[in-house]
Amino acid sequence: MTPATGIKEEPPLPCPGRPRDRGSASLWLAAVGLVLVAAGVAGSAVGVATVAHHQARTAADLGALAGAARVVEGTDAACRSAAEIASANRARLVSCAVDGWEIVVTVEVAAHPLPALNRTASASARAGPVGVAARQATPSRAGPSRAKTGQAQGQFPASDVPVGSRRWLDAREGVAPAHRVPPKEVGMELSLAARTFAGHTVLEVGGEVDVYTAPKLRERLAELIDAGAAKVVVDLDRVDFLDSTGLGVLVGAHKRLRASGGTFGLVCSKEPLLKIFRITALDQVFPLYDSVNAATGAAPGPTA
Amino acid sequence: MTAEIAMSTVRLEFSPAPVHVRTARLVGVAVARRAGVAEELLDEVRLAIGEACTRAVALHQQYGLRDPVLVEMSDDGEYMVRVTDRAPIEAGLGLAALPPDELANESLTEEALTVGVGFALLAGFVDDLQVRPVDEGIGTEVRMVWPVRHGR
Repeated sequence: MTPATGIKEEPPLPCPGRPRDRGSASLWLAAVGLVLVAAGVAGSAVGVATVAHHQARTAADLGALAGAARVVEGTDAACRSAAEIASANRARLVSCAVDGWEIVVTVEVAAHPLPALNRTASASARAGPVGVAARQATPSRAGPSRAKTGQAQGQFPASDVPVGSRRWLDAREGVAPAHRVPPKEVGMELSLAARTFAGHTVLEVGGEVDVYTAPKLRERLAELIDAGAAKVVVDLDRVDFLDSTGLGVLVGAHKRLRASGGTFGLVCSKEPLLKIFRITALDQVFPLYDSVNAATGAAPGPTA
Repeated sequence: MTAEIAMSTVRLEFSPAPVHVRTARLVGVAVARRAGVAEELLDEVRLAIGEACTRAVALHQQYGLRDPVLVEMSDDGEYMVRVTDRAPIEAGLGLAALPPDELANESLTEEALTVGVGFALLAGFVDDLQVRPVDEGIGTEVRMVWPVRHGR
């Protein structure tokens, strides 16, 4: 049994691959026609919001496909084609970019789920010859990625959305994209509650602070500091899990406050967490307290 | 996993996205518990698997790799977890634990600090730890071993 069992070998990135253009304009356009029919039939059965969502995805997919067929004629021709198809699907082309052999299209569809409620559903799609995506995309969103994209109200910028050359295969088959990006739900894993206590801003953290949830903690600390909090205490007593990413965020806040003349303390009384601070030597960086009272000066003495 | 190997193995592959690291931790701890790893070690197993996977995800993102991260958990008289990334080797082996005075260094970026802290956690929590190039192809394997109770 070798560690590489079952893993296909890939050349290292960045490594320009050879474009393998296996598509042709007529195939692309036939695909577009087929999916237009499929999408039209499917779209009528569901609610307004879902329809808008679906419509945006379809428009993005088809726009990207139409554009991809004309990438060879240049960015203008490709994006004009994408815009026409998006418009035919009652969507507005928001952005269009050609990246090597690929085209990335983002569209918006207006939806009115209730008379007074206006929303937009947006979706992005990338299309191009199979096998080209990985090697030609820029590092920031590179990759032989899956297909897909699509999120109501445009929560995700297009560049955050994994898109890929397989998109057009999905579309040609007239099936819903296989790889959806679910709405981000951080609340289930991480809780953040700020209050003022004894002249300090106390941020009570609960749940799991890891590579996925740490950005929320970073954001919240930044908001508090931006809003003028200078004496900040982070209460970790309800934290079940803390990893290096979370520790990095705490160090970042500590440094920022120290640079601006503020203070930063941590409340941590549970042994498993204290062990993490000891092993990483961060107990020598942070003032650690065993209670909020101690951290805010209501009672003396750090535990560390 | 081939049939002739007489041990229990669970393999998990996940797209290199932070959201899946938690899943890997949960699976890793579940398999550890089943393998007979002592309850008091499970927190360390959870943290170490999380760190190894976080590191792999960060490397894949850094290099723009969409290849999945592979986690193999096997139980063969001991509990072994191997986390394999596909990033160029020089990146994988460039890890080093940071000394305490470095941690407080103002110029240290959060990313560099996180990497150093992550490695410190792995080294601190796993007695039997190896970080080495994969046998075939490109990538690094983080191999962690914990004892299991016998007679389970």
